[in-house]
Amino acid sequence: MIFPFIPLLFLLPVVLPLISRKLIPKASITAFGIASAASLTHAILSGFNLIVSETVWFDAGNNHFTILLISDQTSVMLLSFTAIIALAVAIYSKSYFKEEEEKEQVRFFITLCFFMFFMTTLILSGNLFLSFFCWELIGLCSYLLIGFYRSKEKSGAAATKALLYNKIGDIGFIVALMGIWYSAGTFNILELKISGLNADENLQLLISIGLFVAIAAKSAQFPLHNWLPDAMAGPSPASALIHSATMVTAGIFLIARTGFIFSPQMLFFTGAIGLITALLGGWNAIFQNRIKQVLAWSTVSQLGLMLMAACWGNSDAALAHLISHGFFKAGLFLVAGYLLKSIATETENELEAITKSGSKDKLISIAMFIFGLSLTGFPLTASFLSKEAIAISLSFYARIALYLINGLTVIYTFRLLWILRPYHVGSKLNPLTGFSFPILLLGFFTGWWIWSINPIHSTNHFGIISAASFPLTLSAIGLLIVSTTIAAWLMKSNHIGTKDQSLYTDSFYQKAIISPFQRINGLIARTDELIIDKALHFFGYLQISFAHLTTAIDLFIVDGMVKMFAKIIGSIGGMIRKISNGNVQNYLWWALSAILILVIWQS
Amino acid sequence: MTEHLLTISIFMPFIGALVMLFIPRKREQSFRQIALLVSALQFALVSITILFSQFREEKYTWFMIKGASENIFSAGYHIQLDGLSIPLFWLTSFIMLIAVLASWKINFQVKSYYALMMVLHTAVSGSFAASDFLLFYVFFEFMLIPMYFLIGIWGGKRREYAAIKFFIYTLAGSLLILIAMILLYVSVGETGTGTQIIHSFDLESLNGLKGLIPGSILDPDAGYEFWGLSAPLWVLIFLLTGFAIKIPVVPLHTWLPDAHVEAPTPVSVVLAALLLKTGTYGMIRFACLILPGEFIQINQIVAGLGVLSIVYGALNAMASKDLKRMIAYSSVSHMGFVILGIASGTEMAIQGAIFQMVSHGLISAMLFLIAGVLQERTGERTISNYSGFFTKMPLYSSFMMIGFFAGMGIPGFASFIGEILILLGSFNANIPGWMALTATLGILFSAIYFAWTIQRMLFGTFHSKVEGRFEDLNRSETALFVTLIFLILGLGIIPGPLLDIISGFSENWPSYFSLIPNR
Repeated sequence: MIFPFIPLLFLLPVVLPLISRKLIPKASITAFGIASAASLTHAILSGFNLIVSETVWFDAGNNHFTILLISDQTSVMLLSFTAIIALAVAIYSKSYFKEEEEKEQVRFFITLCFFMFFMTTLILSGNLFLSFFCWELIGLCSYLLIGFYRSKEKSGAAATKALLYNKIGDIGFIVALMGIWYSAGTFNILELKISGLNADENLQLLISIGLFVAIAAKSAQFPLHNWLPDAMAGPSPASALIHSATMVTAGIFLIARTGFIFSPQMLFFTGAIGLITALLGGWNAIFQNRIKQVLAWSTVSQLGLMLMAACWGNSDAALAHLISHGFFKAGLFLVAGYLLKSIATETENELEAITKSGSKDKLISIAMFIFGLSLTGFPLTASFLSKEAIAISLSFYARIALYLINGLTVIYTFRLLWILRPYHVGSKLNPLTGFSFPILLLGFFTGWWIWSINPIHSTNHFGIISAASFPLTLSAIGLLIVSTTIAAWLMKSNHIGTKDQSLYTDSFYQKAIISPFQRINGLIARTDELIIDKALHFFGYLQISFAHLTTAIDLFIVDGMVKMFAKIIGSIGGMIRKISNGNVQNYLWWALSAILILVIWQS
Repeated sequence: MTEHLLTISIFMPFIGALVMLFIPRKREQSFRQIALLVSALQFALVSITILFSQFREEKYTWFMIKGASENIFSAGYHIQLDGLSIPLFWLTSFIMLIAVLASWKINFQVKSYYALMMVLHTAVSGSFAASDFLLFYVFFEFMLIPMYFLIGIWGGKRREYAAIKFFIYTLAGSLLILIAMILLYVSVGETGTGTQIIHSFDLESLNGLKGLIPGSILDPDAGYEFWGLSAPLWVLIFLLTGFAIKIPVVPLHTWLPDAHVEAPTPVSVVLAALLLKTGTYGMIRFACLILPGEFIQINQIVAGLGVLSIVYGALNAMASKDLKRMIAYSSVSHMGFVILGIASGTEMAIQGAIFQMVSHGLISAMLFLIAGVLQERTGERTISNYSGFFTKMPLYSSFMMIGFFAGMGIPGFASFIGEILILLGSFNANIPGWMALTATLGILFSAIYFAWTIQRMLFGTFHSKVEGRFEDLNRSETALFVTLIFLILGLGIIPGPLLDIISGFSENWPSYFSLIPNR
């Protein structure tokens, strides 16, 4: 029962800055190494048997939210795979960031450690809530690494784009979680598998759509694929680990784990999206003049292929390809990072610049050639076997689509290999360096031997037991030859003009979604001022006007009456005052008159 | 002594304010020290009370009035802490301590500033502890006065407008609550000797209208109706509207951005972290629980308003050009989640709502402190004025980033637990499913405005359109932020203890509305 602690191994170096910053890179490499060894040991010892470890995390509303870690074939294989790639990338990064400030190095390695912790926890997790927790955090780590070069405006924009696309996926995941919680009341995958969803059709559709959106965003599937090519703004080691081998493949992993939740039509739809993405990515990869862009589009394409395989064929075959793809694609990115170091300035036509600068490591050039062949699914490589497994699991028409995708793969790969041909680039064989060792380590895992002893056909790997499929293999090889010819013909023109890299989806989003949204948003923002506050002010003025009215009433009517009385009394007083003026004769006169009036009136 | 710990901790800051009155106004430093001492002691006392003390309730008669005929009005001094109020009571002490520390640089009329702060402290603490509606109302109203002056005297350029707006808005809300209270007063009471009726505002007789006097205006059998709605429903609407202004719920929210933009930083912190919570607290304790039967009739409307707040607040935050205004609107959005959680009527949702109140208290405090640093360094908070803070003020930028992540509801931060519990709980409730689904948009939108702000302010080369001294955070500022981050992350990663405290209140929540407890 060591496997629950393997993720924690990745987290250990994070506490180090409290002691010494200098130690971080070395400590990370050590920890990753131990973790790789531990996961391989566990893989051998467990024998792919199901082992479950469950601890209560917290209670909410009468329910336990648990940290449920499961060790089965899928998680054990992916765990070892992730740990090995992380180890290679960590060793490589130590040399890669040598010239950076120590502060920056520490930042990179700490983010890497956090990423690995969440990634491995996600792989082991058997609880969808925990999975989501890690799912979003690997996205956050990816954001931090894309935006690693903080002083560049471009990396900020790319990071934000990646975060927001991923956030759309997270919302999808949340919706799926809400639906699953509503219908099943548990996030435990093992329980869900047994008890089923108990959901009506609409709810199941909602859950499937949510999961689909999550997968599409994380694994850069159409129409949410645009962020991945932009994500190449991050440092190459990060691209190698996160944006090709591990994080972006989490979507494939998720569908392998939760595919049974999907409604059948949604599963078909997801596979179709995978197919579209694979073709689109492969097509775009042909027209790139930046090495990392070629690789990014190639990743998009391969992810589409895996998704298609997972939905239409067999998810184990898709996972097998995930693993072989991860090794050679990470290797390609490490090579690309090395080559890019050799050109000082950024240029649009990177490939040409690299050719001119002439990097001097032959070993790396050869490694690149081998990784490239792996990408095309060349016989004797691991990916030949995993592609074969996919081909076997697919139906006839889907298999044709697979060949089409692979044709595109061959074309862009050979274009790349042609431009950066080894005898052109490398001149002498250098001793092993911090750069070449990890590349060789990954190179080791691109061979057929990771899947089977037989180099051109595996009878049993990853649970796929197939009858001899010699014709299939033959047709694959034939296709390889045809596409290579096309590629060679295309390569005569060394430079193919670049297109709108996202195939117009970016500008479509800008015009159809972002701009109208901003306009509406601007309007809404002003309703506060223009409607609510205006209404309030209107009431205010109304009240003040009313107050003025009452003041007027006070002044003219109430006060007026009072004043009128005062005036009347005053004038009477005035009259009387005139009478009583202190003159005795006058008094006598009035008295006499009064008496006279009285007498007259009485009579 | 120990049985009065609650009362002592409520009134301690008030006594501190009284002491301040006897100190000459020129000795500015001593006011800061007294305020710090009092709030630190109070924080310690509250923590001890919550952790160790068994005395969570005090009940005395405050005063009695003999009314017409033989009836008696008995006002109680009844304070009590339960699963709902413990977290908020503790939050008050903590945030007030933070606010006092953050006020250190205020040097205009220091004496009155700190005295008002301390009065505010007592008022907020009191309203979270009161278990008697009248007592609550007194504390609740008493918050208005210090707040009015704190915004109106120490605020920014348009402080008078903002202060008067805040005052009138809240007063209107209080008026509605007062009307509701009068109606409750005449309809609830206990029978004393003979025909004598003892009226009181104690929650024991108010909750669920337990002490309803037959034939009174709120008696459903008496059938009083106004404009087609029954009298109890009217009382509930008055109460809800009164509290909704304080929360604030769209469309009664426009006082909030203005008050926040004009208020000095520590006051913004208190306003966002605590005063808004008195609204939701009041809504739970004095609206939902007093008239649960009526609440369940209109809970869908309340939930709809919550969703409206979430989306509308987020959209407004996106369009805000001022950093502080953006954060203020994000508060509206996040408080919308609390409303949604309250209105759902499920145990998980209310637990999430109370959790969200605490987490929003901590996070909004952090966010306003972040905006406050910018205000203090440059006097200008327009987002588009700045770029590239990472290269100039790395520590500040990191804290801003972390604060914004917390605001986005990224897992690992306290806000995530609150929001996800509310969403899970409210999708599983007797409100339409689309409401909870729409609420998820709030999370997406908050990511948009926060991430976009990070991109504009932090990435790129350093550039500022305004003069200012762009020094990175000093040690005391760092300590403040680190403490907050520690708590926010702690609650986000280990939410168990707080959820357990809350469950003491939330486990009975569905039964108040006679709902079958579901997941």
